[in-house]
Amino acid sequence: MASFLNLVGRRATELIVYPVELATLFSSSFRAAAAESSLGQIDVLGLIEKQVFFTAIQAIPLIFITSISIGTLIFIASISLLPGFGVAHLAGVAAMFLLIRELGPIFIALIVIARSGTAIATELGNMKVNGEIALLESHGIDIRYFLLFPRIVGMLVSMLVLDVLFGFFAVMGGYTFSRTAENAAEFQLYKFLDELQVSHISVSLLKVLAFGIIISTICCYHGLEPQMSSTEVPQCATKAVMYSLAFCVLANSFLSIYL
Amino acid sequence: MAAPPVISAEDLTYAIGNRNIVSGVSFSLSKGDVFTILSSSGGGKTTLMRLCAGLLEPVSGRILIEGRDVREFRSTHRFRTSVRYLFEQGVLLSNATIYENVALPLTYHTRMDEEEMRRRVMTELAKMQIDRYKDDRPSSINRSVKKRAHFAMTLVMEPEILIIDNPLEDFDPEGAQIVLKRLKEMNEEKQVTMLIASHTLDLLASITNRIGIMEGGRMVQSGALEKIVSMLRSVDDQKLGFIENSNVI
Repeated sequence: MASFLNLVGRRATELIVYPVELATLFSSSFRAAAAESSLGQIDVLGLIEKQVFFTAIQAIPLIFITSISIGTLIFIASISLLPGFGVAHLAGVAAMFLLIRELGPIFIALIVIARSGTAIATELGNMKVNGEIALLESHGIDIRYFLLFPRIVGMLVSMLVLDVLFGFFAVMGGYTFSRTAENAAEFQLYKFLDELQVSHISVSLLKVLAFGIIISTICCYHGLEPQMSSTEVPQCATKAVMYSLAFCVLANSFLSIYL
Repeated sequence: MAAPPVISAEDLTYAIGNRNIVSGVSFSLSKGDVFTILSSSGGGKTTLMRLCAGLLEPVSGRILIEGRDVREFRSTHRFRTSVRYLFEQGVLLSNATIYENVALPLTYHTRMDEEEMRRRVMTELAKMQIDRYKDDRPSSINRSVKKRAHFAMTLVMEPEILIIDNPLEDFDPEGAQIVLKRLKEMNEEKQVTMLIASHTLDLLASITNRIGIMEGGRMVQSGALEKIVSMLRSVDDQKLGFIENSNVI
């Protein structure tokens, strides 16, 4: 019984400490950037650029295919199903709400976790185990500024870019492909676009920003965890993926309810 | 008034659990001193080096660099640009070329123009005789070249204090001579203070002016090179057998 209570107590403490440590890591990387901003600007800007290239630019083909598939699915569902319930006029509202506000951000989060989240955690983990992080520190280089800040900023910029692209491809591509559906002729693109509200876009951008903070911080945190052995690296990367997924799903529910 | 020592350790102790790795070590170095600490494996010398570089926190005692506690001094620009720790393994950033590795301290800490930076980096690479490897990645070069690049990355900033862990490990005889020559040059021309840890005195005798001998985490002997060497000659010291094969004795 005592050991069970001990375990529960330890887990409860971890649940409180973990988000606090994440918040500390995130804020300390920005504080370090403010303090070190006169140093290594070229290196840090180059690293941000690389992160954006890897997270956003290289992910475009995948985003293109995913967004068109989901867009088509949502458009066809709206066009085919809603008239049957006598609410054909809600097709545009439903499609825009689902695509822009709800599905876009969470699909982007899933893709970014799978591609860049694992890459960040593995790269940092290998650097730690190989002594490269200690090397940087021994050269007076603040790793929060040099390694974490570019990854976090690069991921935030990438998430915004991917969100805009996802929305565009999903609406334009999805609409185009859904033209084959029954009743499609009744639904013109402008009718859908009329239902697109500023709030949908702002909530969507807010969500991807939140997911970007969550994914980049969690992956940096677990990337820096390995101590001695290279076998710790995949374990930490797995943890980074699992926690990123869990926190993004929780944040998505929270933001969907309250925004 | 005499200038404060460049580096001094005061009753330094470091422990993991109940086991003392470094126990009550004290020493003091003036500008230009080259102090080589000798011990067999597990003697505590690497830990002592890491304590001096501020990479580990002592359990008790303190390290003063230029009269300031290393724990506070470590975050200052002065420390970050003038004190350097060299690892036993020639660690380099694996995703950068040799040139980019060596240039990194300059691009980070200075606003040197590209031409001047290129000149400094290429000069350092040439002194280490590895300029032909400048575009290679660390994974494609041998350990001796990698470690010379590690030295070049450190020396390109022209530090005033060098803390070096096993400098001659991984080197072929030629590589060792190149590095020793460069260290000697730094010491003679710029009065660079060096704290070195090694298993053997061997080739290091050519640049060392003071020796400390550690055993079980304690500094059992320390003093001028000639004094310690003559003392070791006069005693039958099997415990310090590791030094008997060195060139000095």
